[in-house]
Amino acid sequence: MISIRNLRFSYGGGAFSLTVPELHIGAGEKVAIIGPSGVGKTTLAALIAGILTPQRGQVVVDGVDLAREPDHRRRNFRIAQIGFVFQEFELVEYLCVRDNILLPYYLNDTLALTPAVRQTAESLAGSMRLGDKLRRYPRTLSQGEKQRVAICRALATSPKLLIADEPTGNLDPQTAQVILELLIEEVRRRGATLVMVTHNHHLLEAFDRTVDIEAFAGGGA
Amino acid sequence: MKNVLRLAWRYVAYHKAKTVILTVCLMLTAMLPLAAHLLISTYGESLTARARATPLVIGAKGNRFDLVLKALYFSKAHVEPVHMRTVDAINDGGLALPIPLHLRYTARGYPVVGTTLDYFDFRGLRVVRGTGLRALGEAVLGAEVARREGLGPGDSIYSDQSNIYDISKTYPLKMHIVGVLAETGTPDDEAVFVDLKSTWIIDGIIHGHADVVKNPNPAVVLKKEKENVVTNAAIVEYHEVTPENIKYFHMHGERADLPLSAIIVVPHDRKSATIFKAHFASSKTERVLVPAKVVQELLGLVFRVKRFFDANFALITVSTALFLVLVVMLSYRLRKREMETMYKIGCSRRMTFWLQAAELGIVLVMGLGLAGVVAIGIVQAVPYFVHGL
Repeated sequence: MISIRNLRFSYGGGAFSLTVPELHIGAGEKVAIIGPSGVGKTTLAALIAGILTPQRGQVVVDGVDLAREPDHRRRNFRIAQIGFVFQEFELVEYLCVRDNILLPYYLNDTLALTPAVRQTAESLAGSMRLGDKLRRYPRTLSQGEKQRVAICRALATSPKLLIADEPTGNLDPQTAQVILELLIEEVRRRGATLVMVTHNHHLLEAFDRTVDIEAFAGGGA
Repeated sequence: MKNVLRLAWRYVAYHKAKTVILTVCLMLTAMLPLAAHLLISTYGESLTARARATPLVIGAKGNRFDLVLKALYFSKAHVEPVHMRTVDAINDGGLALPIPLHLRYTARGYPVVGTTLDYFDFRGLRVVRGTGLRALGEAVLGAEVARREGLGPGDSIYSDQSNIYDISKTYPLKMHIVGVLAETGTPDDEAVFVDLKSTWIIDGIIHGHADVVKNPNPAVVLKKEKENVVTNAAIVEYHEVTPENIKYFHMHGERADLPLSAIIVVPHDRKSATIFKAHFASSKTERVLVPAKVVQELLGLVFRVKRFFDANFALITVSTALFLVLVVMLSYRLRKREMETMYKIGCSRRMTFWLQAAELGIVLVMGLGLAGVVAIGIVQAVPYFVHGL
């Protein structure tokens, strides 16, 4: 599913650089990326999603070398094939739960918003115990509910790959456990690949594999 | 584009206070210049059209704007009177048709226009209900007066009391409505037309009372000398003209001295108009005006004032635009993270730009649309608030 070779990335003018000699993640695998703060976990997630492009090396996702694709193709690929869950939820405050879940369909014309899609989104919300909150706005939701909405949004396009960047970082341990279980259950049910950035070692048991980014040569600031 | 508009609408609908403030701000900025422009173009056109249709106006020397506004638009401005002898002189001259106007009074706030039947022909006024004026004390209503007051043939209307504290003044005259005119979209729609003599009855110059010569009432007779009878104030005057009492209406004094507000003059041809104007040029008490020129001059003054306001509005528009730019810039900074999230999900940078542009566009459309509606409302409402300019 994901194949990274000789990757090197640095932000313009900064001292930070990320080097990943080789990393392969198979389809349907659930991988946790760990490492101390500032080591480049989020940067790696952004490189896998095609949000950032490396100065050197390859990032191939589902057979597509994202580093060689222009921005519009990377966006179209990302919105259709990759779901993204953020640490801060990043819900749109002026949209209700239903519209937040359907946001990818509003943002990119390559996705068709059909009645079937709406139906799927509603049943997805139901499976995340949000069925009675579809008309509510983010400000009225708890932290756990907000993250569940964010997971629904990431899964709404039925992506093959789900990237979660510390999705439990802002949650209490109990809620974090519940969210992780829901996330893994949905990913397993869909046969999707999960790449999750975390520094919470208590959650690692739920994953097939752990990648410590600090172990890569040249990693770290 | 549909999705951009959908998201933009959700944004403006969610942030109600911000949207309302910006919309009202835009509305107030755009509404006044728009209303001023609409008012001037609408009323400028109708003022000019009526002035062009009126060849000449004669009146007492004084403010030329007041005289033209009085004669053409029945304004409340005070003008010094001219007299019937001028009408007689014009008739005798044979150069033009004089149409006398006596415009001192109102009925239910509408101007009472005392004139002759020539006025109806001159303005092309047509009776759509009832009949035209036939006798003393009758009235024909303009279409708007009839509609607003719910009056028609068979009803009656009183002239307004000019001074309620002075009991020595004449009482209001009860006028019998005999007809309603077709709508013309001119000041004629908002006037009550009567025969010239009826306005002199309201003046008290023509009056009617019981015959104290043939049937003297001792209670009112102070002195009797041959045919001349002097009465006291107890004598009852008629305040309504009926078939029974019409024969008792009379006047004391000369017909030539009867007052008029203005005279519309329709020369028979161009040459007659020139001679006519030359004839009145030397008059010490009266003046001849070409209404089209006076109205043009008046509009020129209005446009000069408007230019000043336009400059003011331009400054306000610039400050509002700067205020909007500030709001957009602050909004952009506050929403940078939201836009970044949209980009990460798969939205293009162009779409995030259009999303914010559409939000501003919706507010602009609402503000300017509201300004347009209010401005049109003001133009429509002006006639209800401003009777007779």
